[in-house]
Amino acid sequence: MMDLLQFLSSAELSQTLQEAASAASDAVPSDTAQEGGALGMLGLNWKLFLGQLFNFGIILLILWKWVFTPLSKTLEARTKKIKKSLDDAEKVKAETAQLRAYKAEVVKQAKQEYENILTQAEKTAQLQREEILAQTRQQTEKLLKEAEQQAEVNKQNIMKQAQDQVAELVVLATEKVIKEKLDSQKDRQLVSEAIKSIT
Amino acid sequence: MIYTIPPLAAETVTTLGTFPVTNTYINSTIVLFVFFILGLLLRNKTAEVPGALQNFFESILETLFKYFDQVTGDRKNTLRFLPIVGTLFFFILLSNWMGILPGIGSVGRWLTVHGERELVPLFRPAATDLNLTLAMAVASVAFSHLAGILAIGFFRYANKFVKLGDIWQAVLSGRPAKILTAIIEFFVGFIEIISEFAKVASLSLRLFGNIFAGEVLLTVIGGMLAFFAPLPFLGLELLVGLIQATVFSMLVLVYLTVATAEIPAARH
Repeated sequence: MMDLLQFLSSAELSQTLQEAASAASDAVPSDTAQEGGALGMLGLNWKLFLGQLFNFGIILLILWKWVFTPLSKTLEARTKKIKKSLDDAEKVKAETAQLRAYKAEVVKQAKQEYENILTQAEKTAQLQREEILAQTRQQTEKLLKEAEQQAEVNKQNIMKQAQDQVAELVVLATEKVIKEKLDSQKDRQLVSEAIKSIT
Repeated sequence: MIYTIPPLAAETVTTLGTFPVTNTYINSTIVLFVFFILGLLLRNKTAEVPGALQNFFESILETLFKYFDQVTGDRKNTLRFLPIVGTLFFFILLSNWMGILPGIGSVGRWLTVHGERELVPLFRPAATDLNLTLAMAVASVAFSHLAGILAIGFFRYANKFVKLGDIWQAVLSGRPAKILTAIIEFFVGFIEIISEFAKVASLSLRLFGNIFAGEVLLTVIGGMLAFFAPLPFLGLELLVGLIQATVFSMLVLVYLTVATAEIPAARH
């Protein structure tokens, strides 16, 4: 460490640098020495300058043509593609949401319609039932009335026949009583027989 | 001395014809090959579902984009400037971080330098050469001017520096105060021209200075105590490498954004 400090503090470093520089100009007497001065000390030399420029130019060309242009193109293309994919995904998402909403709407409508139809059907059924019931009742009543009427007629007919028969029987019985004309006991017997035959 | 502080100028390791191959040039060429291989691996293989390598790069890019967008204010501009700014960032980052690898600065050739046999390192961080940083700075500022001309047209862009158009419009308006302002603005335009050179100088010298200082620091500390002592400084250099890469590329991004921005409507 002391060595370094001494080295730095003394003017040795600059001296060494100067020596080194002069050594360099000695080393290539054919080129740098000709230019001399500060530029020569720095090692400037038009041949080397052109040589280095050439090297740099080649590297520039290589990287330009083979690396940067295709790479940046790829990067741009990928960026574009990713952006497009994201946009598409967004679109699909929106579409899906729309579709879902539409589906829900359709289902809702269908349900409503179904309910409507059901109510309608119930109503119709109710109406029909009532109508049928009413019809049935009416018919029944009509039939009952007819039957009653028929029964009445029948009864009257039977009654009329019975009266006729009774009258005939009475005449017959009377004739028999008159023909026989026996004792009161026989008479009573006859009458009871007559009555028995009537009933 | 058991350590040699690297000289300001990159050392020539060998020559190819008349071209002096310096150790920094070797390093920048290595970086070039690394990127070449990476480019080959990534080329035409970008898929929508990224592989491991692509994923890694994409994650870095996405992080960078966040910062770039704050400067440009628009993803479109970010993508437009990405090639140059991104290249600067990755190139500086990789070459800076390579300087921390063992062997960089220590493996070398024994060459005769000014009469003495000296170990000349084979590898030296590319950004410790002013030639490279200057080349990058010049290229970046030139790109910013080119982008500005392409974005708003040559004459409207030139009017930022040589404000003859503003003077002409002030003369047409016929108001003395406006003419005076236009003349002052005309000289401000010259300052703008100077500032363009200042941009180049500050960009190149900042990167060079920081990375070179780091290399000197590591050499000095490593020379004093080879074990453990350099560790915190290595960590520091990792940070400096990242920060300098970010600073350089972000400044260039700012220059590009300013150059391509529409000139705000005259306020006078």
